[in-house]
Amino acid sequence: MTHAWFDGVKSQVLPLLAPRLRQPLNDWMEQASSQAVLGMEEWRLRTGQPPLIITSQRDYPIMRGSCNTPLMVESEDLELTLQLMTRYSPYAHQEEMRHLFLALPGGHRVGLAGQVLSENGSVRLLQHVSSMNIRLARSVAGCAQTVIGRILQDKRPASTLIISPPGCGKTTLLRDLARLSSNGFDKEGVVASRVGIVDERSEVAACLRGIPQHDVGMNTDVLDGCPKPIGMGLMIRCMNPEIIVVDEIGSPQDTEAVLDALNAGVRLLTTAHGQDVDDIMQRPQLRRLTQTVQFSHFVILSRRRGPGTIERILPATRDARGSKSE
Amino acid sequence: MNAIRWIGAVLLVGAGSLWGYVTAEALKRRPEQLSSFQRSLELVKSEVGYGLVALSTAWERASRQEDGPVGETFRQAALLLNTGEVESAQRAWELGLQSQVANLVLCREDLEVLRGLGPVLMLMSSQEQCRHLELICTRLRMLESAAIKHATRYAQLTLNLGILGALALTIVLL
Repeated sequence: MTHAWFDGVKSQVLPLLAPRLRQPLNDWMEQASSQAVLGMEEWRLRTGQPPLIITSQRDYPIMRGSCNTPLMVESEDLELTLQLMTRYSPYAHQEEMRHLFLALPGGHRVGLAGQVLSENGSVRLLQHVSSMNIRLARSVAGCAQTVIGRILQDKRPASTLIISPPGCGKTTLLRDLARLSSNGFDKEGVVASRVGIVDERSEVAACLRGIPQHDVGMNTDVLDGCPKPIGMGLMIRCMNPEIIVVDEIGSPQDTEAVLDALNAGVRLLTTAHGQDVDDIMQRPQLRRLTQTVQFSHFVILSRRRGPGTIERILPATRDARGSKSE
Repeated sequence: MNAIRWIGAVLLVGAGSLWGYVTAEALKRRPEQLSSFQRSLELVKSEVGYGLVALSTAWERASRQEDGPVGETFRQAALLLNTGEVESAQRAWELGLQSQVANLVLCREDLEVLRGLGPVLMLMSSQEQCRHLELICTRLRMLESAAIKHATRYAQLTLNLGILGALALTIVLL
């Protein structure tokens, strides 16, 4: 099968797996239907369990070549996979690993679990990795085209909060909004703006050694791996953006930084976990933020018709903020 | 018959002198190579500790800094890491070192210290790696100063021993 995304996965992610896992996964992809292969969302590797390929439809355990028994992942497989993913240099990724993830070429990401050594209430070191969740990134260029025209203010996207549960495509939509805002989008009358992405977890631009692996637009600056509260202030002072893009806000520090940014006259495109606006209003920090910040719109996503289903785009009036906020 | 005797005598003196020269050179080169390894490891330590660069890149940079078998050791190890055909950085380092053992003039003790670098490379924390790299450098420094003393004491002696021993043997045989 030939498909740009699939070819990318095969050339960028597959070689990073331990050889014992690489061949069976490759065999599965060669034999499975194109719908299953193109629907791949995650590969899950857990010690003592078979590798699982998660697609949008169902999960596929990987079997051992000829005999029909599951292939079991061993701790050595995960150790070697980690070595390959970090180019034999886990220390060089210790900051990412403290946040239990690794960024891979092509914007793909790996969630990690294992034995955590903590210090002063935060993760100091992750060792003996026992689970990996390889999330296959899919940059859906154009997915924000139906949204951007509805959140415009003076030909630029107004401050908008994207709300959805995990895995519904918030980050993908945010990335495409950043790209369209940066490049401009004539069809909807969007003019190009200076965009600053503060990408604390390297999810939006998916930088690898500082270079965005996703197309985030020609007029976009990315601050990769920088904590949001610090990064937003630095970005405003140093790069003079018109729009700031940050993913998953929610902490008190995020709230303060967002308020500062908006007081500086910068527009904000951001996301938060939740089912709908009512959910957001039940979280004190986000309630404070939505009540204080003049968000122009809320975009609600779900997986009802697959990831990225746009449920509603609400103008952020007091009514939209819900009675619970009053 | 006399001509053959003299030719044999010249060859014997030549061989003895060559042995003395080679051994003396090895004694002199050992501290140089130990010092060269230290400089390379100091560079690797900086790259790892401050630059957080990947090990293969750090080794490549170290290989460019040093000529001869020391640079080649780092180059071979980096090559192995880049191909991704080894199971660990430790294995790559061992193989890189092994490939140059014949060209290095180090003794067993020196090689043991250098092989001790392998497990350090598997550490997850750059701070811990730096501490262990510093420890290895300290041990190499101690070996180097012992090697300098050894070379000062024995290099000239070995050279003279080679020439004079061969001459003495020639006289006895003639």
